[in-house]
Amino acid sequence: MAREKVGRVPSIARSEVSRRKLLVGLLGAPALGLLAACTNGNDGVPSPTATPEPDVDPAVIAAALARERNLISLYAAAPAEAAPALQPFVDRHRAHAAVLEQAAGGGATVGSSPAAPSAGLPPDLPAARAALALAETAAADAGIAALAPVSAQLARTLAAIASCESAHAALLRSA
Amino acid sequence: MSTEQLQAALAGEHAAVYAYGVVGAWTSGGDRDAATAAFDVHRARRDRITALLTDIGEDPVGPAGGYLLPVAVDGPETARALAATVESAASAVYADVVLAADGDADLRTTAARWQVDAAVRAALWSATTVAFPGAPELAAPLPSPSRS
Repeated sequence: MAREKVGRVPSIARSEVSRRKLLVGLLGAPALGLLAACTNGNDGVPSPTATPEPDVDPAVIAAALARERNLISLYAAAPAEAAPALQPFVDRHRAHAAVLEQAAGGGATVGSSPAAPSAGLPPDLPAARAALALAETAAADAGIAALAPVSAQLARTLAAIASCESAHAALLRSA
Repeated sequence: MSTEQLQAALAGEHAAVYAYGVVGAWTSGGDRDAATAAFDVHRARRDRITALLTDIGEDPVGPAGGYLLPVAVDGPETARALAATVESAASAVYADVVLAADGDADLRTTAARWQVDAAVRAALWSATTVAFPGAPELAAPLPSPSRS
């Protein structure tokens, strides 16, 4: 039986970062890194790996917010008969958007990042569910791809949102 | 760094391996297959984190002498509930690694993918999900008009 079979997330295969790379990551933070992690301030200490650019956060938040709005508009285009069953999915995306808006500080970014125009959905319910699952997976992949350079708390937020979106995709496909 | 969180993740994987032994014993058909596959995944994660910690000179935590299951299993339904609980817990330990892996992009991304993976299995076992698998504090209600 194929290992990792249950993780029906296509990205899992790619998740297998080699142990060597992981080790480099861990060993790349020797004694100095361990100490630095305690203060997390890194004031004036140049570090080749441990300096997330806080400046990338706003753009990443704006992009994540746009993805959420796009998904919400996509769900709105789902066949009416599916609306009650899909409402919890929409509610969770609204929760994602709310957290991202808070992370953006309610600044101009929020109002000025329009949702990408939604492509609409097939009228046929199974096809619509499949299309929603694809969109959820794409959003989850984008979130995971974006989280490397951001601040720790934003990384945690993006990972949790991607987890929900991948779970959505699995649920949409399993029904 | 995040060895503390990796140790917690390892402890979680030991528990998951144990729990899936129970789940497998109480399920059949597709659920049994899913339990077997999940058992293999958790065993592989356990071995990988163990090796990782060993290689950096840490002493990896071993399995507990016994486990108190968070769900009393007496049939297929409670077995699925246990599996869902195990996966929710797994998503939480990896969410903590994500947070702690500041400065290690590879570890952060790998932990995030494992968090996603656990959340997907939790959803399939329980037929539902939550808005922030592994990071429930994010679901705290937003500031709202105070109740009078």
